[in-house]
Amino acid sequence: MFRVVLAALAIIALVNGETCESPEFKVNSHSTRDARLTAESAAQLEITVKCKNGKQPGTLYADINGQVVPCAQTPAAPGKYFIGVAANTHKELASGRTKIKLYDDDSYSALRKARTEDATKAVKPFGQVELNHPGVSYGPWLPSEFFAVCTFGLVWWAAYRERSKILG
Amino acid sequence: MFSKTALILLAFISVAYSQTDDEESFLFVTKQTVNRFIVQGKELTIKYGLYNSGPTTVFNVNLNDVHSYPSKYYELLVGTLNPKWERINAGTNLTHVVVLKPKESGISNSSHAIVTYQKSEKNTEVQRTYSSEIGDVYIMTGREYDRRFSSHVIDWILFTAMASPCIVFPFFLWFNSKRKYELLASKDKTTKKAQ
Repeated sequence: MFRVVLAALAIIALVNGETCESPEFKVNSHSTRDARLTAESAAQLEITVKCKNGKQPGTLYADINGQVVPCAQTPAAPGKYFIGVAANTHKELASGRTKIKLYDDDSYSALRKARTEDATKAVKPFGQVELNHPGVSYGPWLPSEFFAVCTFGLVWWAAYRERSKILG
Repeated sequence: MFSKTALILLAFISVAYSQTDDEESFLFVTKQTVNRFIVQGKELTIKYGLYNSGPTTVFNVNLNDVHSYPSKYYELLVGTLNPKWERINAGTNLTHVVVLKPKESGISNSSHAIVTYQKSEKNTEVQRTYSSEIGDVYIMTGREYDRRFSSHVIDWILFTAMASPCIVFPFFLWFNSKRKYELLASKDKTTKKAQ
Protein backbone atom coordinates (compact mmCIF):
# COMPACT_ATOMS: atom_id res chain seq x y z
CA MET A 1 0.00 0.00 0.00
CA PHE A 2 2.78 2.33 0.99
CA ARG A 3 4.61 1.49 -2.22
CA VAL A 4 1.53 2.33 -4.26
CA VAL A 5 1.23 5.69 -2.54
CA LEU A 6 4.91 6.36 -3.09
CA ALA A 7 4.62 5.42 -6.73
CA ALA A 8 1.60 7.70 -7.14
CA LEU A 9 3.44 10.58 -5.49
CA ALA A 10 6.45 9.97 -7.69
CA ILE A 11 4.27 10.02 -10.77
CA ILE A 12 2.60 13.25 -9.67
CA ALA A 13 5.97 14.82 -8.98
CA LEU A 14 7.26 13.70 -12.36
CA VAL A 15 4.25 15.08 -14.19
CA ASN A 16 4.44 18.38 -12.36
CA GLY A 17 8.13 18.62 -12.92
CA GLU A 18 7.85 18.15 -16.67
CA THR A 19 5.49 20.97 -17.49
CA CYS A 20 6.41 24.58 -17.20
CA GLU A 21 4.59 26.48 -14.50
CA SER A 22 3.79 30.17 -14.39
CA PRO A 23 6.04 31.17 -17.23
CA GLU A 24 7.57 34.59 -17.53
CA PHE A 25 8.21 35.94 -20.98
CA LYS A 26 10.87 38.35 -22.01
CA VAL A 27 10.16 39.60 -25.50
CA ASN A 28 12.48 41.33 -27.90
CA SER A 29 10.42 42.55 -30.79
CA HIS A 30 11.72 44.03 -33.99
CA SER A 31 9.92 45.21 -37.09
CA THR A 32 10.72 47.07 -40.29
CA ARG A 33 10.46 50.82 -39.65
CA ASP A 34 11.64 52.49 -42.83
CA ALA A 35 9.16 52.33 -45.69
CA ARG A 36 11.60 53.77 -48.21
CA LEU A 37 14.24 51.15 -47.53
CA THR A 38 11.85 48.18 -47.49
CA ALA A 39 9.05 47.22 -49.84
CA GLU A 40 7.21 44.89 -47.47
CA SER A 41 6.87 44.70 -43.74
CA ALA A 42 8.25 41.94 -41.59
CA ALA A 43 8.50 41.51 -37.86
CA GLN A 44 10.37 39.11 -35.64
CA LEU A 45 9.87 38.28 -31.98
CA GLU A 46 12.56 36.73 -29.81
CA ILE A 47 11.00 35.22 -26.74
CA THR A 48 12.90 33.98 -23.74
CA VAL A 49 10.79 31.85 -21.42
CA LYS A 50 11.54 31.48 -17.75
CA CYS A 51 9.65 28.88 -15.78
CA LYS A 52 9.35 28.72 -12.04
CA ASN A 53 10.54 25.16 -11.84
CA GLY A 54 13.42 25.74 -14.23
CA LYS A 55 12.04 23.54 -17.00
CA GLN A 56 11.79 24.64 -20.61
CA PRO A 57 8.46 24.25 -22.39
CA GLY A 58 9.78 22.24 -25.32
CA THR A 59 8.01 23.33 -28.47
CA LEU A 60 5.96 26.47 -28.47
CA TYR A 61 3.30 27.38 -30.99
CA ALA A 62 2.14 30.89 -31.77
CA ASP A 63 -1.21 32.04 -33.06
CA ILE A 64 -0.50 34.55 -35.80
CA ASN A 65 -3.53 36.00 -37.59
CA GLY A 66 -5.53 32.86 -36.91
CA GLN A 67 -2.88 30.40 -38.02
CA VAL A 68 -1.05 28.45 -35.34
CA VAL A 69 2.56 27.89 -36.32
CA PRO A 70 5.48 26.42 -34.40
CA CYS A 71 8.15 28.73 -33.05
CA ALA A 72 11.72 28.34 -34.19
CA GLN A 73 14.52 27.51 -31.84
CA THR A 74 18.21 27.49 -32.42
CA PRO A 75 20.86 25.10 -31.15
CA ALA A 76 23.12 28.06 -30.36
CA ALA A 77 20.69 29.60 -27.85
CA PRO A 78 18.41 27.10 -26.13
CA GLY A 79 15.51 28.68 -24.32
CA LYS A 80 14.97 31.31 -27.02
CA TYR A 81 11.99 31.05 -29.32
CA PHE A 82 11.59 32.97 -32.55
CA ILE A 83 8.39 33.98 -34.27
CA GLY A 84 8.37 35.64 -37.66
CA VAL A 85 5.49 37.63 -39.11
CA ALA A 86 5.48 38.80 -42.71
CA ALA A 87 3.06 41.09 -44.49
CA ASN A 88 2.83 41.81 -48.18
CA THR A 89 2.24 45.50 -47.80
CA HIS A 90 3.19 47.92 -45.10
CA LYS A 91 -0.44 48.43 -44.14
CA GLU A 92 -1.07 44.75 -43.45
CA LEU A 93 1.20 44.67 -40.43
CA ALA A 94 -0.89 46.43 -37.82
CA SER A 95 0.94 49.16 -35.98
CA GLY A 96 0.76 49.29 -32.22
CA ARG A 97 0.62 46.30 -29.94
CA THR A 98 -0.70 43.01 -31.29
CA LYS A 99 -1.32 40.17 -28.89
CA ILE A 100 0.02 36.79 -29.88
CA LYS A 101 -1.09 33.72 -27.99
CA LEU A 102 1.39 31.00 -27.28
CA TYR A 103 0.60 27.34 -26.85
CA ASP A 104 2.83 24.58 -25.58
CA ASP A 105 2.56 20.91 -26.49
CA ASP A 106 -0.37 20.15 -24.19
CA SER A 107 -2.48 23.18 -25.03
CA TYR A 108 -1.67 22.75 -28.71
CA SER A 109 -2.91 19.20 -28.79
CA ALA A 110 -6.04 20.34 -26.95
CA LEU A 111 -6.46 23.04 -29.57
CA ARG A 112 -6.15 20.53 -32.38
CA LYS A 113 -8.73 18.27 -30.79
CA ALA A 114 -11.25 21.09 -30.43
CA ARG A 115 -13.79 20.87 -33.18
CA THR A 116 -16.15 23.79 -32.51
CA GLU A 117 -15.31 27.44 -32.21
CA ASP A 118 -16.37 27.56 -28.59
CA ALA A 119 -14.11 24.68 -27.75
CA THR A 120 -11.25 26.40 -29.59
CA LYS A 121 -11.78 29.55 -27.59
CA ALA A 122 -12.00 27.57 -24.36
CA VAL A 123 -8.48 26.20 -24.69
CA LYS A 124 -6.29 28.05 -22.28
CA PRO A 125 -3.12 29.29 -23.95
CA PHE A 126 0.28 28.80 -22.41
CA GLY A 127 0.88 32.51 -22.42
CA GLN A 128 0.54 35.68 -24.37
CA VAL A 129 3.12 38.04 -25.76
CA GLU A 130 2.84 41.35 -27.52
CA LEU A 131 4.30 42.41 -30.79
CA ASN A 132 5.03 46.11 -30.68
CA HIS A 133 5.17 47.65 -34.13
CA PRO A 134 5.71 51.41 -33.99
CA GLY A 135 4.69 51.78 -37.62
CA VAL A 136 6.64 52.64 -40.74
CA SER A 137 7.89 56.07 -41.65
CA TYR A 138 8.03 57.44 -45.13
CA GLY A 139 10.46 60.19 -44.25
CA PRO A 140 9.91 63.66 -42.82
CA TRP A 141 6.57 65.33 -43.49
CA LEU A 142 8.09 68.49 -44.90
CA PRO A 143 11.42 68.14 -46.63
CA SER A 144 14.21 70.48 -45.67
CA GLU A 145 14.12 71.99 -49.17
CA PHE A 146 10.72 73.45 -48.29
CA PHE A 147 12.16 75.36 -45.35
CA ALA A 148 15.13 76.51 -47.41
CA VAL A 149 12.83 77.86 -50.12
CA CYS A 150 10.65 79.60 -47.53
CA THR A 151 13.58 81.25 -45.81
CA PHE A 152 15.23 82.52 -48.99
CA GLY A 153 11.82 83.53 -50.33
CA LEU A 154 11.23 85.70 -47.27
CA VAL A 155 14.61 87.33 -47.64
CA TRP A 156 13.95 88.07 -51.29
CA TRP A 157 10.51 89.47 -50.54
CA ALA A 158 11.82 91.83 -47.85
CA ALA A 159 14.50 93.11 -50.20
CA TYR A 160 11.99 93.55 -53.02
CA ARG A 161 9.70 95.54 -50.75
CA GLU A 162 12.49 97.91 -49.75
CA ARG A 163 13.53 98.30 -53.37
CA SER A 164 10.00 99.16 -54.38
CA LYS A 165 9.85 101.76 -51.61
CA ILE A 166 13.07 103.34 -52.81
CA LEU A 167 12.10 103.34 -56.47
CA GLY A 168 8.47 104.19 -56.00
CA MET B 1 -5.13 -21.99 -52.10
CA PHE B 2 -2.78 -20.70 -49.45
CA SER B 3 -0.33 -19.35 -51.99
CA LYS B 4 -3.16 -17.46 -53.74
CA THR B 5 -4.15 -15.62 -50.56
CA ALA B 6 -0.49 -15.00 -49.83
CA LEU B 7 -0.07 -13.51 -53.32
CA ILE B 8 -3.16 -11.32 -52.92
CA LEU B 9 -1.92 -10.19 -49.52
CA LEU B 10 1.47 -9.40 -50.99
CA ALA B 11 -0.19 -7.42 -53.77
CA PHE B 12 -2.20 -5.39 -51.25
CA ILE B 13 0.86 -4.67 -49.14
CA SER B 14 2.91 -3.50 -52.10
CA VAL B 15 0.11 -1.23 -53.33
CA ALA B 16 -0.30 0.25 -49.86
CA TYR B 17 3.42 1.01 -49.61
CA SER B 18 3.55 2.58 -53.03
CA GLN B 19 0.59 4.77 -52.16
CA THR B 20 2.31 6.15 -49.10
CA ASP B 21 5.31 6.93 -51.29
CA ASP B 22 3.12 9.12 -53.53
CA GLU B 23 1.53 11.02 -50.70
CA GLU B 24 4.70 12.31 -49.17
CA SER B 25 5.11 15.80 -47.90
CA PHE B 26 7.60 18.17 -49.36
CA LEU B 27 8.89 21.29 -47.73
CA PHE B 28 9.20 24.33 -49.98
CA VAL B 29 11.53 27.01 -48.73
CA THR B 30 11.72 30.48 -50.21
CA LYS B 31 14.27 33.08 -49.31
CA GLN B 32 13.58 36.72 -50.11
CA THR B 33 14.58 40.12 -48.98
CA VAL B 34 12.01 42.78 -48.20
CA ASN B 35 14.50 45.57 -48.86
CA ARG B 36 14.18 47.85 -51.84
CA PHE B 37 17.81 48.82 -51.48
CA ILE B 38 20.60 47.12 -49.63
CA VAL B 39 22.72 49.73 -47.95
CA GLN B 40 25.95 49.35 -46.04
CA GLY B 41 25.34 50.03 -42.38
CA LYS B 42 21.55 49.84 -42.66
CA GLU B 43 19.28 46.92 -41.87
CA LEU B 44 18.85 44.11 -44.35
CA THR B 45 15.76 42.01 -43.63
CA ILE B 46 15.61 38.51 -45.03
CA LYS B 47 12.43 36.49 -44.98
CA TYR B 48 12.42 32.70 -45.16
CA GLY B 49 9.07 31.16 -46.01
CA LEU B 50 8.54 27.47 -45.31
CA TYR B 51 5.53 25.69 -46.71
CA ASN B 52 4.64 22.10 -46.02
CA SER B 53 2.78 20.85 -49.03
CA GLY B 54 1.37 17.41 -48.74
CA PRO B 55 -0.69 15.60 -46.18
CA THR B 56 1.78 14.62 -43.49
CA THR B 57 3.83 16.33 -40.85
CA VAL B 58 7.55 16.80 -41.29
CA PHE B 59 9.85 16.52 -38.34
CA ASN B 60 13.12 17.90 -37.14
CA VAL B 61 13.38 20.72 -39.65
CA ASN B 62 16.71 22.47 -39.65
CA LEU B 63 17.52 25.54 -41.74
CA ASN B 64 21.12 26.49 -42.13
CA ASP B 65 22.11 29.72 -43.85
CA VAL B 66 25.22 30.61 -41.92
CA HIS B 67 27.42 30.18 -44.98
CA SER B 68 25.56 32.89 -46.93
CA TYR B 69 26.23 35.60 -44.41
CA PRO B 70 29.62 35.24 -42.79
CA SER B 71 30.01 37.33 -39.70
CA LYS B 72 33.01 39.07 -41.25
CA TYR B 73 30.75 40.83 -43.74
CA TYR B 74 27.37 40.83 -41.99
CA GLU B 75 26.34 41.61 -38.46
CA LEU B 76 23.38 39.64 -37.14
CA LEU B 77 20.90 41.93 -35.41
CA VAL B 78 17.69 39.97 -34.96
CA GLY B 79 16.83 36.31 -35.41
CA THR B 80 19.06 33.37 -36.09
CA LEU B 81 20.59 31.97 -39.27
CA ASN B 82 20.19 28.42 -37.98
CA PRO B 83 16.62 27.91 -36.80
CA LYS B 84 15.05 24.56 -36.16
CA TRP B 85 11.50 23.42 -35.78
CA GLU B 86 10.57 20.11 -34.22
CA ARG B 87 7.53 19.59 -36.34
CA ILE B 88 5.73 21.42 -39.10
CA ASN B 89 2.19 20.25 -39.74
CA ALA B 90 0.69 19.72 -43.15
CA GLY B 91 -0.36 22.86 -44.96
CA THR B 92 1.44 25.20 -42.59
CA ASN B 93 2.96 28.34 -43.97
CA LEU B 94 5.77 29.58 -41.73
CA THR B 95 7.90 32.68 -41.85
CA HIS B 96 11.27 33.22 -40.30
CA VAL B 97 12.78 36.69 -40.34
CA VAL B 98 16.44 37.55 -39.98
CA VAL B 99 17.80 41.09 -39.83
CA LEU B 100 21.41 41.66 -40.81
CA LYS B 101 23.59 44.70 -41.27
CA PRO B 102 26.10 44.62 -44.13
CA LYS B 103 29.49 45.86 -43.10
CA GLU B 104 30.95 46.36 -46.56
CA SER B 105 29.65 47.69 -49.83
CA GLY B 106 29.93 46.23 -53.29
CA ILE B 107 28.47 43.24 -55.05
CA SER B 108 27.63 40.31 -52.85
CA ASN B 109 26.18 36.93 -53.61
CA SER B 110 23.97 35.13 -51.16
CA SER B 111 23.34 31.52 -52.03
CA HIS B 112 20.70 28.99 -51.08
CA ALA B 113 19.89 28.05 -47.55
CA ILE B 114 20.18 24.35 -46.80
CA VAL B 115 17.16 22.79 -45.16
CA THR B 116 17.12 19.26 -43.77
CA TYR B 117 14.10 17.47 -42.40
CA GLN B 118 12.72 14.03 -41.67
CA LYS B 119 9.56 12.72 -43.19
CA SER B 120 8.56 10.76 -40.12
CA GLU B 121 9.49 10.66 -36.50
CA LYS B 122 10.82 7.15 -36.57
CA ASN B 123 12.49 7.17 -39.94
CA THR B 124 15.72 9.05 -39.35
CA GLU B 125 16.45 9.34 -43.04
CA VAL B 126 17.18 13.01 -43.57
CA GLN B 127 15.79 14.82 -46.60
CA ARG B 128 17.72 17.74 -47.88
CA THR B 129 16.28 20.63 -49.82
CA TYR B 130 17.50 24.04 -50.84
CA SER B 131 15.75 27.36 -50.58
CA SER B 132 15.45 29.81 -53.42
CA GLU B 133 18.29 32.28 -53.60
CA ILE B 134 18.47 36.03 -53.83
CA GLY B 135 21.52 35.93 -56.07
CA ASP B 136 23.84 38.83 -56.73
CA VAL B 137 22.94 42.02 -54.95
CA TYR B 138 24.57 45.41 -54.95
CA ILE B 139 25.18 46.83 -51.52
CA MET B 140 25.35 50.59 -51.89
CA THR B 141 27.39 52.73 -49.58
CA GLY B 142 25.73 54.84 -46.93
CA ARG B 143 26.65 57.99 -48.85
CA GLU B 144 24.80 56.91 -51.97
CA TYR B 145 21.66 56.18 -50.01
CA ASP B 146 21.88 59.44 -48.06
CA ARG B 147 22.29 61.43 -51.21
CA ARG B 148 18.86 60.25 -52.29
CA PHE B 149 16.96 59.80 -49.08
CA SER B 150 18.39 61.61 -46.11
CA SER B 151 16.80 64.84 -44.94
CA HIS B 152 19.68 67.08 -46.09
CA VAL B 153 19.18 69.51 -43.19
CA ILE B 154 22.88 69.83 -42.53
CA ASP B 155 23.52 70.41 -46.22
CA TRP B 156 21.06 73.29 -46.24
CA ILE B 157 22.50 74.82 -43.09
CA LEU B 158 25.95 74.75 -44.65
CA PHE B 159 24.59 76.27 -47.83
CA THR B 160 22.94 79.08 -45.87
CA ALA B 161 26.17 79.74 -44.02
CA MET B 162 28.08 79.97 -47.28
CA ALA B 163 25.46 82.09 -49.04
CA SER B 164 24.92 84.51 -46.18
CA PRO B 165 28.06 86.69 -46.77
CA CYS B 166 26.75 87.44 -50.29
CA ILE B 167 23.46 88.59 -48.84
CA VAL B 168 24.39 90.03 -45.46
CA PHE B 169 27.31 92.18 -46.61
CA PRO B 170 25.43 94.28 -49.22
CA PHE B 171 22.46 94.46 -46.83
CA PHE B 172 24.73 95.84 -44.16
CA LEU B 173 26.12 98.47 -46.51
CA TRP B 174 22.65 99.54 -47.60
CA PHE B 175 21.37 99.61 -44.05
CA ASN B 176 24.25 101.77 -42.87
CA SER B 177 23.82 104.26 -45.66
CA LYS B 178 20.05 104.31 -45.17
CA ARG B 179 20.46 105.07 -41.50
CA LYS B 180 23.01 107.80 -42.22
CA TYR B 181 20.75 109.49 -44.78
CA GLU B 182 17.69 109.20 -42.59
CA LEU B 183 19.59 110.85 -39.79
CA LEU B 184 20.71 113.60 -42.17
CA ALA B 185 17.17 113.98 -43.45
CA SER B 186 15.73 114.28 -39.95
CA LYS B 187 18.45 116.81 -39.02
CA ASP B 188 17.57 118.85 -42.13
CA LYS B 189 13.94 118.77 -41.11
CA THR B 190 14.61 119.98 -37.62
CA THR B 191 16.90 122.76 -38.86
CA LYS B 192 14.29 123.81 -41.43
CA LYS B 193 11.63 123.85 -38.73
CA ALA B 194 13.87 125.90 -36.52
CA GLN B 195 14.28 128.39 -39.34
